Amino acid sequence: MKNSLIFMKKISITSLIISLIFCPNVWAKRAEYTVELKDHLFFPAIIKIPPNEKVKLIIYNRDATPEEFDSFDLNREKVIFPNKKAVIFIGPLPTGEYHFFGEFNPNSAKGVIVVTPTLENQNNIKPKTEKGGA
Amino acid sequence: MLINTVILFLSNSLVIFMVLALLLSIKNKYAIPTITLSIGALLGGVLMLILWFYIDIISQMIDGTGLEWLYVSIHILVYFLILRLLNTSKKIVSIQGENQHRSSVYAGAILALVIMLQGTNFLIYFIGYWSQADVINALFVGVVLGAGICVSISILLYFLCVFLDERFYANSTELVFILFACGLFNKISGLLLQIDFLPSSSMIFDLNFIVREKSELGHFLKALFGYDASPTLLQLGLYLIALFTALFWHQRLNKPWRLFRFKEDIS
Repeated sequence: MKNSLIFMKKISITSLIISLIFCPNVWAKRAEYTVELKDHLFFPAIIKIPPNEKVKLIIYNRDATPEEFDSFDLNREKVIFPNKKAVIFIGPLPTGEYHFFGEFNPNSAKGVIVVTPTLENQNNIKPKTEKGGA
Repeated sequence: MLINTVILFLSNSLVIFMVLALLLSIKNKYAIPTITLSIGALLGGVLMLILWFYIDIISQMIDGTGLEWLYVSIHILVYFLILRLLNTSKKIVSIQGENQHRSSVYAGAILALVIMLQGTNFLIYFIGYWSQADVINALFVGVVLGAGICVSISILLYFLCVFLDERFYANSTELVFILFACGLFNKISGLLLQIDFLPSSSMIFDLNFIVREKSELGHFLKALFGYDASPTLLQLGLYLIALFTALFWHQRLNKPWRLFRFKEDIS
């Protein structure tokens, strides 16, 4: 009886891990948006993304000091090391404006993510690839 | 810079002071040696420096998600260590034996891991900006002010736990510790959402009109219970699972049909 319980427990844990690993989210490809941080300023400071879609935000820190990407609106927080990049996924979001800032330099490093259905041409977008999807 | 340093110190270090206050409350009750906590704090400092040294390399691993995975693993480990500590401590009250050593190890490990997790973030900021000559004074004063506020809050928390234990319910500190552990555990959902491992969902309610998450009280509640003013269904579900698991684990030794275990242990 005890052995079968332990066996059942092992099976449950294994299936949970397998389902998490193979859940569509892990392998899905997202549209990529790049942002650069230079002289404690975000470039571009306004990023337009489509509504109800999860996107990948790649932030490059070109400064010699670290910075922390922070957003109360998006509930995201991540340190970006000097001359390194950080990857953050955001969305799906309804139409609106979502502010973000650099926590180490909140007065200068500011930006906003505008979720809008009418996207103008932006050169920081890399469209999602064919395979995958969720 | 001064205000920013104080805020950053509070948001990163308050958790360390709180876990120390909770461990000190339990130390008096279950005789955890002071030397264990001192070694834990020292080890935490060393681990923090090691992590700081390699953190930029770790952050670039697994397609830029290495740091999240490391933090998720350590948060889960700390959650289970707290549960084990509280469970072992309950046995110690009854049997006073070999489990005391184990409980001390858990207490030291919890303190070390929390210092490593929470301290590294502030260390990145502190060392990153230390080289700028014009901000050294602001950094130093900010750290002193932040440390003063954290020490004051942790002393108040310590006496509140002792007071609640003596006047209201003997296991009050354990309950606060369980809520603290669930708050830490709940951080993993945010980290996994951030790296697209868990599916996103819209928030189910917004409590920012009652307690703003980034206000002073919000910071305090976040450090103590993992307060999130606008959680998603997934975050709330994970928090409740962590809470019920912890309560079940903690309470199961109290059940009458479990009493034979104590008798076996004593004999």
